[in-house]
Formats: sequence, C-alpha cells, structure tokens
Amino acid sequence: MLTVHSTGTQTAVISTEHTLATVATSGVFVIQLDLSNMVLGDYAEVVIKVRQTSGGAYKQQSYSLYAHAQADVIQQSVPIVAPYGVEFTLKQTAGTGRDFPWLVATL
Amino acid sequence: MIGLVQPQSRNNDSTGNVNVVSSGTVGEWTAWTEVFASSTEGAGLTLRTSWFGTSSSYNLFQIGVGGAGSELVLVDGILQHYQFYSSGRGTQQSVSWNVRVPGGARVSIRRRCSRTSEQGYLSVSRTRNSQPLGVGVEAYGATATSPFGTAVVSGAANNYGSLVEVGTTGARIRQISVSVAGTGTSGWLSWEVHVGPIGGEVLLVRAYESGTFMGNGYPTPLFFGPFDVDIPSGTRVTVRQSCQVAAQTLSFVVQGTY
Repeated sequence: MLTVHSTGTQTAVISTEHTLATVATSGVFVIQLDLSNMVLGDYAEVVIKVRQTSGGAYKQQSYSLYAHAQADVIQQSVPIVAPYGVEFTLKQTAGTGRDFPWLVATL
Repeated sequence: MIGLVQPQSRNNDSTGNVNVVSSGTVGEWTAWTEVFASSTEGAGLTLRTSWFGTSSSYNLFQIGVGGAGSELVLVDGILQHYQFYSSGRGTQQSVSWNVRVPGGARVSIRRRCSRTSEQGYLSVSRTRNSQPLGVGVEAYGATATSPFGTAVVSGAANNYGSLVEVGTTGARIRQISVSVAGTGTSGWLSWEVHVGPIGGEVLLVRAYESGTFMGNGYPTPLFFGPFDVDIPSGTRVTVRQSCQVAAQTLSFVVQGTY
C-alpha cells in the first residue's frame, strides 16, 4: 500500500549537499521533488544512494542534474528497490539558494 | 523522467537566417544576437551555418540563454571552419546538441571570427517534445585567438603525434563531440579523443582515415558526433592526430554535454 514515508522543504545552500531523507528500512521508495522555485541560472543535483548490505555504506545509484526554470516542475524517481536502505540528497550548485519541497513515498 | 514518447516530436521552429557580422577586431566576441525572444521549452538545439562570405574563416560561437546583458552560456565552444571554394561556394554545416532549452528564456548567439566585419548567416532551431540528455554543453580546448582551437600536431607520416590535453570535464558528461579546423598538405587524416590521467589515457572517439585534407588543404569532417558517453566530472580530455604527411597541425575543440 502506498504511504508517505517522509516529507519536507529543503532550503538549499549553494554547493552544500543536503540529505533530504535517509531510510534505513527495507522497501521500495520513490522521491518526488518540487522544482517550481528554480529560475534561470539555478543548477541542482539530485543523488540517490542505496545500501546493498545491512549497515553498509550508502552508494550512489543515480544522479540527475536540473537547470533553470523547469517545465515539468514535479520530478519523480523510478521506484528504488532498497532492501537495506536508501538516501536522497540534493545539492544546488549555482544560482540563488531555493526552497525545494520534497516527498518520499513507500510503495 | 516519467514522460511517454511524444509522437509529435518535431524540429520545425527554426529562425530565419540571421546575419551575425563579425567584430571589427579579429577574435573579439560580437554582441549577443537574439535568435528567439522567448523560447518555448526545447529538448535540443541545432545550429546551421550558411553563407560566410568569399573568404575562408575560423569561427567560434556560443549560444546563450537569458535577458540582454545577463546571458548564460548554454552551448560553449562551437568551432566552425568556414571553407570557401571557388565559384562562390562555401561549406555549410549543421550541428546539434541534445540539450534542454528552458521555456520562456531568450536565446542568443555570439561569434568570434578570424576576419573582421565578415558576414555570417546562420539559423537556430529547437527540438520539441522529446527528452533532453543534458542541461548544457561545455568545451575543452577552445581558445580566444584564431583558429580558436587547441593545436595538435601529427607525428611522422601515418603516425600519431603526442596526446595533447585540451581540458578537464567540469561535470558528468553524457555526450561528446569534436570539431576540427585548419589547413595542411593533402593526405588522409585520423584523430582520436582520449580520456584519463597522464599515462592512463583510454580511447573514447576515433575518426580513422575519415578526415582528409582533400585537394585544397581543408580537413573534413569538421564536426564529429555527438556520441553518447558517461564520463565523470574531473576527467582529463586529450586529442591526438595522424596524417599521411608528417607534422601537420590542426586545431581541435571537444564539447561535452552535461
């Protein structure tokens, strides 16, 4: 059953990697990000990291780069299969630090 | 990332030809020339260069987005060798990048040229309703002086010269392409792009005997790619070339879509 695992709004500090959510439990997760506040000159990286062993390190599973004002303002990941946990991070690398509402759902 | 394949994808919103006349000073940027006042969302850009006058010239372009006076470079390091032939014929090119053009943004272009006040007719179009691979294009090896690329010298006849470093990736690169400019003694050319640290370079792209100086000293093809790649940020990029005739110099610019 679909449930909301966690939600929030991240105010980005330029060049700082912010951890949006760390999920240490087993599951299949999706992150949704609201990029409505981005304007021309803003660049933001979204990285998903998963653990392949219990208590292991979170390692990069995917990387996405967004720039400028967005047409599809809600961006969503594919379902992330995470038996041992998953972490979602955001780093704005240029522009003015924006607010990024986000939501992690469990499938 | 969700989207479905869009059957209406198209590439039909080209500007008419815009004449971007080169600066009165060799190698100086022109002002930004607007090609779209307010772009619709785009998933790719194509630049077509047409009539550049009755003399060969080296040209470097940037395509930018943003209001007048606050342009941001969207596509950097577009090296173009305009080759003029007799009877009023010159090389026309069409080059594309799979890069997102943000909706609502003014799109403009500027030019460096090896000749002063030279005409340069060009047009720009956007791919619509597809999925862009990147959000910008960076350049390795572009220079401010003619011929606007990094010089690479071939070795002995039919032998590669040394690898020449042209730059380092500043982002994770999804596509790569290569531009070449220059003249030389007629003969078959080969050239390669490598990535990796000194002593650990690996071949990425090769144009094997596909570029010949032809009969008039001009190389071809002038633009090669783009090719899908996945190169980490911070990766060293190098180029080498070989020619039937020893010690021929060409200029290269490599572009990376991030």
